[in-house]
Amino acid sequence: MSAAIALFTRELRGRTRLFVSCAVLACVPFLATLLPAAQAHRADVIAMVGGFLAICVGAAVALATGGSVIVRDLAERRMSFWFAKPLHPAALWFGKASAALLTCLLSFAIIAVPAMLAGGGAWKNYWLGETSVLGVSALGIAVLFLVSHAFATVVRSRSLLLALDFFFAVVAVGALLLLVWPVVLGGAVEVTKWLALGIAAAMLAVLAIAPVWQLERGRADIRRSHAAFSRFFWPGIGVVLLVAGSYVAWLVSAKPADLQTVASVEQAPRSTKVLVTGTAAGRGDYQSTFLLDRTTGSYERVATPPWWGIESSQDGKVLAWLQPSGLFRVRQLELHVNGRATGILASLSSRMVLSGDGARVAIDNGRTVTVYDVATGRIAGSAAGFDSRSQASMYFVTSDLLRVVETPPLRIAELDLRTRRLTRTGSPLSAALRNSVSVSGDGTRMFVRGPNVIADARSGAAIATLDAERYGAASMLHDGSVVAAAFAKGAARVHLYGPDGVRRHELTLPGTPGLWITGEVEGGRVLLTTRHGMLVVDVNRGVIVRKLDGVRGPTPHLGADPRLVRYGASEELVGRTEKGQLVLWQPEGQAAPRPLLR
Amino acid sequence: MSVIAADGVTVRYGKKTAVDGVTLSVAPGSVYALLGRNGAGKSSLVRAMLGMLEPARGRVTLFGEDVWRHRTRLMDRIGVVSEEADAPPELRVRDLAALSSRLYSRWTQSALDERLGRFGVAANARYGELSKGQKKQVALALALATSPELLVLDDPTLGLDVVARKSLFEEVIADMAERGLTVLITTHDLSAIETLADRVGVIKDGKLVLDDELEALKSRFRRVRYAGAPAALAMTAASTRAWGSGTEAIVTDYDDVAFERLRRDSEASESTPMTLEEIFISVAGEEQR
Repeated sequence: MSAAIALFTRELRGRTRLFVSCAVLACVPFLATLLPAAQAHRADVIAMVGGFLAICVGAAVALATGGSVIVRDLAERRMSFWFAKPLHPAALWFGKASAALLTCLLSFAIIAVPAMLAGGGAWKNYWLGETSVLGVSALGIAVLFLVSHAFATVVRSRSLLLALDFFFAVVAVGALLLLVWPVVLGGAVEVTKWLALGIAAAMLAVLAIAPVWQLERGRADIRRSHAAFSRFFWPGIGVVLLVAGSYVAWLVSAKPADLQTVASVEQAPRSTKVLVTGTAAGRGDYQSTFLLDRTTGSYERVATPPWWGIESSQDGKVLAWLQPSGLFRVRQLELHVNGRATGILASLSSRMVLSGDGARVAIDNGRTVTVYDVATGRIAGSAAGFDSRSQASMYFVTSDLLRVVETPPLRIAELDLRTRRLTRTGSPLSAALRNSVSVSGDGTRMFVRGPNVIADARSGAAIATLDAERYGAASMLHDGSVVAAAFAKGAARVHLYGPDGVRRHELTLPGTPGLWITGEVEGGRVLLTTRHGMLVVDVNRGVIVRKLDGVRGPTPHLGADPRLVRYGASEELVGRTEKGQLVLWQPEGQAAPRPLLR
Repeated sequence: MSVIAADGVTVRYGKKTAVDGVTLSVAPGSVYALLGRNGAGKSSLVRAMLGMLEPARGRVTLFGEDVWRHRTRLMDRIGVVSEEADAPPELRVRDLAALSSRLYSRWTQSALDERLGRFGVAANARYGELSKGQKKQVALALALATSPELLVLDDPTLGLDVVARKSLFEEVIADMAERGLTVLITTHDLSAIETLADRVGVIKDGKLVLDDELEALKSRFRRVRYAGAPAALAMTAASTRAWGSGTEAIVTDYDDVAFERLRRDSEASESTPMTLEEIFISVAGEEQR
């Protein structure tokens, strides 16, 4: 320890000239205020120039000292001076490194502190507050210093081991991406943050300790020093990645029965499959996603993020979703159909819709919409020229005809897959709101919220205009009738319109400041989700036939298809209780919900 | 117990073998001169002996302890003057002394000051600005100020003029006489070492080809000139060459009885002692100076 202190004080004393230079540089922000253009914003100029200069100088000193503190002596064959003395490698490294790090921080502080004091509030504005900028700078300087030392060790030895180091670096970066990506896909902001911080801290610790091993085993010879560094560093990084990998493996290994909270339940109509997303015990905000069979309880883990959801064919036999296309192509998504990869690729921002028979899929990539044959992966048709700023809804009218509806302003186009031609069929309707279009089951009519019109789905020509209400939620049902809800004074008023646009019924729901229209059930039932639970409304009679408190779901995802999800008359629906349990419930009758998983 | 004991030490740099299975020992209070041509492996062996280089095979003990494992502790008992001026050039001599004084347990500042005074080196001079000779003098002064039990001098006179060489060796001799210091020295200054060394090792192509007491070497190695043919010599000859009508041989196992027998046959025979330099040349090669 005393040897390390002796070295530390010696090294620090040798840097007096640098500190004097920094003190001179600290005057630069103040001199900058003498410029005519700067005089009106004195505090801003001092804060900005001072902060920028301090960061640049701190970083430069970190890079320079990191690259020279040990490696220069090794490269210039002067390390024997230190090894001829009763000096332990740890004392040598920590003595020199701590002095170098303090030098970097002092260089930064000598310039930053006067600017911070003179800049006052301006400093806070530019540099996110005193604590943040100082903390981040200190960490950044330490990282730069250690990385610079590692880099200099590897490069200045001029050893062939450099190729091996490069190989390991590539493997480590690849492994890191593989580790973090599943966590990101699980929507785990907090876990990702702490995992990244943990990995970074552990890697920094390896970087900080590796030079001790480097000096202990490599001693005065630069090539042996490099070899010793690599022999410690890469296994160290390997252990860090292994530990992090084990944690991630445990994180993603949650089973449906482990779920403590269920975030969403998406049910594929006429299918036994349910897409369940939730968080499990001890796994923070990481959301596991499962494709669960509601009849058998069997499940498969799906790598699709919770916000993408699944699409299904009309008969429920074809289920499709997007997930990362491979280990190293994490930013590219691949269409999976019934668990099988199709080779059809999409980008992270893509949305997709399946044809009624499940044979084709349309993928929207912003400006372009492409239709693929699911079985072969071949392109059946493609159209460009869409406005990427608009939100495009799309649906297959038939397997050969895709209709694209952009809002706002509302514009309609059809892609005929037999002729492979895109035709603009509808005139712009400027009053349409974003995401405001819903379409009837047969695709002949649509309802546009905002102007509140029932229109021809192909031409956009208005057929009927509804009440001039400001509806917060509205949807056209399968048969062309419309359900719309307006909210005021903590209550919801639900209006039920016939396909002709005539209002047939009105329901008032006190204590319901908001609701979502989340599906319909064959036989004229519509599912409303409130903050209390589920309501099943008989559209024809205008009455609530079932009220289920404490259960919510199924909840469709915000997909590209503007048609409301329609469940079979006899289908059991899946929901989640407030305690996070999955339950099955009947939209008809008053039978109590039963647990899905035992 | 030997101060230095090398046992089958092999040092490799990649595929190149710099030191090949060297075994030697240095007794307490003795001066061991390790000689060899440039690139013979002296410095590599010295670095291995100082625990700066891990041998690929074999091991080195200093004062009975493995130097690779216990280098930090052992270095407190050893003073080193390296082949190259390796001290940080930006440091002043007094800073070097201050640093060393905090690292060694038996530091004697007065000894250092005295020597620097004798050498005429200013304490506030920067190490990098000193002449080559002054750097060596400072290195020696620093090494001796640690009151070492073993002094390792790796080619200490390299690049020094005659006066500087003389003063450097005088310091070593004085310290040896005073404290019974053990010295390991590698040098090309064979005439100077001849008065100092107790034992000599010659390293050639990484192998220790000669390791003996200096006096024993001098009595073993003789130049013998005689009238007969080379075959008439009854001693081992390192080399033979024509000498007039007779032969001149460098013998490595000179024996008075054998020489008297030779002399009986040829009255013109003569035997002359060899200097260390001559012995070295006969063992290590003609080019060495």
